[in-house]
Amino acid sequence: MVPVDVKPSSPISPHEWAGREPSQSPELLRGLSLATGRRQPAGGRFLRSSPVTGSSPLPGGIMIVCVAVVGHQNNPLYLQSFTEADDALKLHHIVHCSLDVIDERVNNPKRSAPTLNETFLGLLYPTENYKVYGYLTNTKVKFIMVTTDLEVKDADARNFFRKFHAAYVDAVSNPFHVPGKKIASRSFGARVSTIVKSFGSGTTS
Amino acid sequence: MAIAESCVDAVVMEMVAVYCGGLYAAKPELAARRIEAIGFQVGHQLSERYTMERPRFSDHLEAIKFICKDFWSELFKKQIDNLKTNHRGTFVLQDNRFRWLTRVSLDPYTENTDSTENDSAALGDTAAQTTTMLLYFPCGLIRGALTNLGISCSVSADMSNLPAYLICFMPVTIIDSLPKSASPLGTHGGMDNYFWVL
Repeated sequence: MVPVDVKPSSPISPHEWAGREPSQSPELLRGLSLATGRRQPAGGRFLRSSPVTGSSPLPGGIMIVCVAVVGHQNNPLYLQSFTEADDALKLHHIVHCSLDVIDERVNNPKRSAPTLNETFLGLLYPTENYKVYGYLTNTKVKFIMVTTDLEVKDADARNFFRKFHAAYVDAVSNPFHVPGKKIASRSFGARVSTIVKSFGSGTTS
Repeated sequence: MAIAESCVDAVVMEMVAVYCGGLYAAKPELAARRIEAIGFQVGHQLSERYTMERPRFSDHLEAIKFICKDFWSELFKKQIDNLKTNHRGTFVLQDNRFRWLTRVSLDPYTENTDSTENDSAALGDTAAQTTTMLLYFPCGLIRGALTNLGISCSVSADMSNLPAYLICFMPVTIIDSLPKSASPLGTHGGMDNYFWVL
């Protein structure tokens, strides 16, 4: 994997995204402005999302586009996309933007007073096509889930992250895993795929 | 449970024996560091597991309390007996019956070659040394757990006087004395770390 270092503060001119579908560009830029702190009026503009174009998720009711694990130094540990398109860069960008939102959530806890210090952070931000959910553990490891589902139940997301976290804990308990490095375990990948497949199917365990 | 416990006892003792007697017989400090490093890794992993179902800690004291209560009882089947702090980053954890030392006894054959009356002091000295080696692993455990929770610290262990050396003190000194207003996310360097480490 090539090192990806997308700075949210650096302006991205549209022609840099040439070769990609034009519909992706405004969405990316919007995520960008959210991440740099310029508050946009929340409301219908984001939620009135157009049908998913471009990289559509796999058939069979899988609504999760991507899951990611980011370490305590904001180093990516794991990123798995569940689309057929080659959009790792775009998903990296979305995940990267969400780190800013997590930072903001945690440093200004007033806005989320009832859920103070809870590991589940809820909806981080919506984009045109996706919703991004976050989860921050005690050890400052961030779990990020990007979904196309417009009506994700919080309980479902919570349950998903709980299982995801359990899988992560088992993966890093491997004595051959070096802390802070990419999780290369194949069984972890398989387990995450299972969890993603069972997401939203109502099987709460 | 009893079997698992005996296994842990045996593993810790064997590890100490291998490192002190075999690999680093001439360099006990190096052996201690190796044992501590193993404990560090185990504590690092265990803290991830044991903090799974609980809300995030808001400050250092909460994390230390977690270590004293939940983490300690997961490891040693009891909570610590006393916690002292100087409010400047040093905590002293006291356990009056440290479980991993309850079955330690001295090997009489190594010492009684010319045992006279005034050798009891030397015997006690060796006993203290042996037991100190046994305590590097739990020290590493605690340090690994705290480091993973975002507190870089140094942990040492101290025993009470012989022969009832079951009372164990563990001073924890927090190295980065961050002000309370600092970012709860720790001292990482912003977003610049977001790239794959290959």
